[in-house]
Amino acid sequence: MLAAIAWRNLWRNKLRSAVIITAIAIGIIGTVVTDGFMSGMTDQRVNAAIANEVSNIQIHNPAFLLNEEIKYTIPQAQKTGNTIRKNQDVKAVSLRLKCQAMASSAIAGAGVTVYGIRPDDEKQVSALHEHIIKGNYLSGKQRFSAIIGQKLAKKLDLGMDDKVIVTLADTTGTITSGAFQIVGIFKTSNDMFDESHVFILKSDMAKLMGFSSASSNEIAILLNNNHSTRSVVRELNKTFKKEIAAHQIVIQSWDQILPILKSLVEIMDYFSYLFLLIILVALAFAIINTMLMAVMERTREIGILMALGLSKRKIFSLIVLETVFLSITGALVGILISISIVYHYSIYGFDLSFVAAGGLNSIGYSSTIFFRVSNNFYLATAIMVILIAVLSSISPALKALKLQPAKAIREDI
Amino acid sequence: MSIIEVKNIYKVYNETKVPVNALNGVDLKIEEGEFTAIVGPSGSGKTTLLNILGGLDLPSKGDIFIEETNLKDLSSRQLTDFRLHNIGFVFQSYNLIPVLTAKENTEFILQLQKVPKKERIQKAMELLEAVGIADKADHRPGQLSGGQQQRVAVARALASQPRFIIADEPTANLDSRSTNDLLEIMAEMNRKYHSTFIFATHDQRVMDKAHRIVTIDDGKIIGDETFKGR
Amino acid sequence: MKTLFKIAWRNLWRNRRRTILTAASVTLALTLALFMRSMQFGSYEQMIRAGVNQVGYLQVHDTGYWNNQSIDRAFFYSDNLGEILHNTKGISHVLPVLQTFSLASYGNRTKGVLISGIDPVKENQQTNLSGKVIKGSYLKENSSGVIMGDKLAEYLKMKVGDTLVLIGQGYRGITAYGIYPVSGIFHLPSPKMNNQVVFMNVTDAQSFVYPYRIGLLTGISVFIRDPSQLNGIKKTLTENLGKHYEVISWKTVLSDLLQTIKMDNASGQIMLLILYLIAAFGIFSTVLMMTMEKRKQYAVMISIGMLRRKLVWVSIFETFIVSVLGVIISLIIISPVLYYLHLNPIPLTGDMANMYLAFNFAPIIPFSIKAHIFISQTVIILILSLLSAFYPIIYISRFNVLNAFRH
Ligand SMILES: Nc1ncnc2c1ncn2[C@@H]1O[C@H](COP(=O)(O)OP(=O)(O)OP(=O)(O)O)[C@@H](O)[C@H]1O
Ligand SMILES: [Mg+2]
Repeated sequence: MLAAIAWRNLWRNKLRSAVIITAIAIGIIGTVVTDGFMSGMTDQRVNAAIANEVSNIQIHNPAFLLNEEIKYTIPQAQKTGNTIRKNQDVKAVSLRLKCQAMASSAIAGAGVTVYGIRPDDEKQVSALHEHIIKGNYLSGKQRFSAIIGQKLAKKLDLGMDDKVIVTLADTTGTITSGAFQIVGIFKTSNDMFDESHVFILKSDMAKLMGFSSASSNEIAILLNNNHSTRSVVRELNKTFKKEIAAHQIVIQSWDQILPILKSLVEIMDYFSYLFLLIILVALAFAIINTMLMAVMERTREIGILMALGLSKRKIFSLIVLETVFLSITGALVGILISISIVYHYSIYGFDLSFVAAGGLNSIGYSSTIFFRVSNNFYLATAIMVILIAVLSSISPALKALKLQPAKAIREDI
Repeated sequence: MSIIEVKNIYKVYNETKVPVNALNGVDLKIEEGEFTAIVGPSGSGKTTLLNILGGLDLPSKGDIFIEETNLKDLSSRQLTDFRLHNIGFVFQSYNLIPVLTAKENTEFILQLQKVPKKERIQKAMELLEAVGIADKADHRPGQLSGGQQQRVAVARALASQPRFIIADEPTANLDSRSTNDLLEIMAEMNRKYHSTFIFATHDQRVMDKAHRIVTIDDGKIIGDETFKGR
Repeated sequence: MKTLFKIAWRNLWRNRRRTILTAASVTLALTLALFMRSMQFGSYEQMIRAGVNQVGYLQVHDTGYWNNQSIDRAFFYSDNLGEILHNTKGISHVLPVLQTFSLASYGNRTKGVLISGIDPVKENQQTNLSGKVIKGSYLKENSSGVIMGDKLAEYLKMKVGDTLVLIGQGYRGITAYGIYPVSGIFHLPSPKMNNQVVFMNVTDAQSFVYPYRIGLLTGISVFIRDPSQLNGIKKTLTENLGKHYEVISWKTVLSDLLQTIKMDNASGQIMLLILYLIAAFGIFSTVLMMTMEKRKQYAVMISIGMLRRKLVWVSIFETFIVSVLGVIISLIIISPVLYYLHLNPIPLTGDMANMYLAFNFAPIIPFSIKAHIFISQTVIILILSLLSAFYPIIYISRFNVLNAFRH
């Protein structure tokens, strides 16, 4: 009966209930959709970084990581690579040479990272070949060819078929350089990446650096699923226990390679919850206010309920129940609408180009964002809203308890 | 033995700037089955006295016994429970819970007393029948006239068969026909179930029906007449 | 009108509790909005200030340099140029700079670095670079040392006193070559700077890239006294310098930063919008209840002959007074808080701090107390609360007096 009274009380002033339900729904839609957007944005950044830049897992010689000195190669890289390929979560493995160098044209120079790769392997691991906007990806056949980022091409004023001079220090520390013909220009969603990377054939690079072409100082591993990164790292750490103990290799996941990216993910999460909190404070206020007024408006009615013998506990639960019903309705409406909005943008994407005309590439984002909201966030939102509703109903419910039946009944409605 | 015994009670309202002495030493006994009207000019203390009789308020001084129970000895929780099981109320207006139908309002107290559903509904319908608005059982108070609302209130007050029923100006908002009907119903209930009724009223027609008229002025009882044979 | 205002005022006083509740919803909305905005604008201002402090309000280059930053687009400083800069009103000072890319070697380690030739004294006044030197000493005029970031020094395994070899591309295709003692090692907030920048005297840099004629610069950073004069000064300079020079404003130089800010501001505005909506609904709901509650009173007043139009005015006044009250309370509460936070920004720690440092910002959350924030938020909240006055207006002009008396 109490529940029935509380539920029907909701519909006594339909406009009022509708207003509060809408406010709660808007609050939920606002926070959930914002979270969907922000998660979509970080996902996109993380996925792009994994796909084009760092892969899921990388293996290096620990000494190489200190200063990226090229002489620290991975012992028995081929064998290691083949062992890794046997792991069923691993999609592909690429062995690379990596070196800090200077790329220059006739008019300018720039600090870059040069990668020596085997195109067939690299294509399996990195999606960069899908981002070629001019020319073609490297092929094993054409020697002394290079692909460079669009930003870098512009900076060095280089075009297709021009030569880029790569200057680096070889294994002995001697500075050497080689000229590479540009066969392709790539453009990812991250300008900073495009500005600082040159890809050449591994065999050419080994020759320039004075290595045998079998040497590698980086092994990049792409997994079938990003979520298994942690578990695969654990497995590999077991498989290569001996090598790791002997300080021959070190295995890192993408978030260890790009800690900034990981903090970005965490900070975005943190902001989502902070925003949820701010919205909840505003909601709590609206709810407290409305329910307090509802109690004042019904002073006489509550007085009569008390006269009839309704215990304080029941009066209290009556008000709490009404608030909870109000919030659950609002939460349901809000979550249903949020789910459909998030679903829509998770499939069709949200085009951001109207905010920044040139897109967001210069800060590392593509301008179409695919929303994602974790189930946890939905759950947290729903729970928090109901929790806030219960908390907000306490003050109005206490106010109702303070009423004296004899006095309340004298009150005019 | 009387159902109610009031011994030298005083009531002072202290919340105002000048304290108001609403009751100044009232002694009163009510017997089972009585049909009593409390009359007196406006502001004389009728409502105050009824509130105290009904356990809604406590006297500033003096004792009130309902059978053996001294209401002063009860905690607020016990008092609430005591009202639920022993006292019925009919107020001047807006008695009913607006979101419940006539039937649900009548059932309400029975439900609080945890009476089984079947019995409850049967009792409620029987009483609505008795007060003559069984056909409006599913209407909400907003859809009933003032007189009809008061009948539902009487039905509700009687449903749990309380020791006595307190009615503060139950007819004040009603026309003469509704007043007569309501009084008829209450008198009938008084006869049939032997329920004890205590009214506060200004209404001559109510006084005409009463078995006993207690006159109060300035918080003191100044007259107490019993009319045998009514 | 005056009596109507008085009636409104008394109504509010009579129902003090309700008045306070309604005003409180306004207060909360404005307080939250001001807090959020002050925080956002505070960091934007900080970012822009830090950025402009480094790059200058305006930069003068050889025409074409901005689009193609090659050493071949450097220019020779001339007295004529100096005179024009000196004679342009509003310029406080200028910093010459010569930047070029080069390979830096020590032992058998080599790394690409950015050489930044600066005027040690002037640069220090602007950025307090000498304060960032953690080992050795800052650049001295007339002495050809260099200072480098700690990360770079670590990579090259160099310490103060070691000799750095620089090989790069000089002006007009010559090979630039030079050896310089490391006089100091600095640590700046940005890892990027620590990793790849080498500072030296601008004259040393000039003879490094082109020893045959001294005076080469890639740019001159111009600082002005009053930022609001930016466009005017830019125009004068462009005209006076002629077509051989380009004048670029910091908005172009820091366009990435501005884009980030724009993005962040857009998301901030969306969040504010949601907050406003909720606040507006909260305010509306209280006004609604206030109106419903007074329907009987309204009915009585209309019945006894008061014009509905006048009642409408009373309710408008009521909403207005309550809103203004809410705004005033909010300003009284939040202004000192924001002022305090403006003077004592919240320091960041952990991941957040690292992220700020990575983007070359001080790891603090500063708060802005610019008047425009207060004005815009106050106006928006006032408009929102006055919008809710429409409800009683519509209600009063339409409601049925007879119904109001029924339950
Ligand atoms: N809560 C209160 N605070 C202060 N004074 C009160 C309060 N309730 C009642 N009074 C005063 O106590 C006195 C008795 O009031 P009461 O309501 O009992 O009179 P009544 O006989 O029921 O009058 P009426 O016939 O008009 O209903 C009156 O003077 C009244 O003003
Ligand atoms: Mg009375």
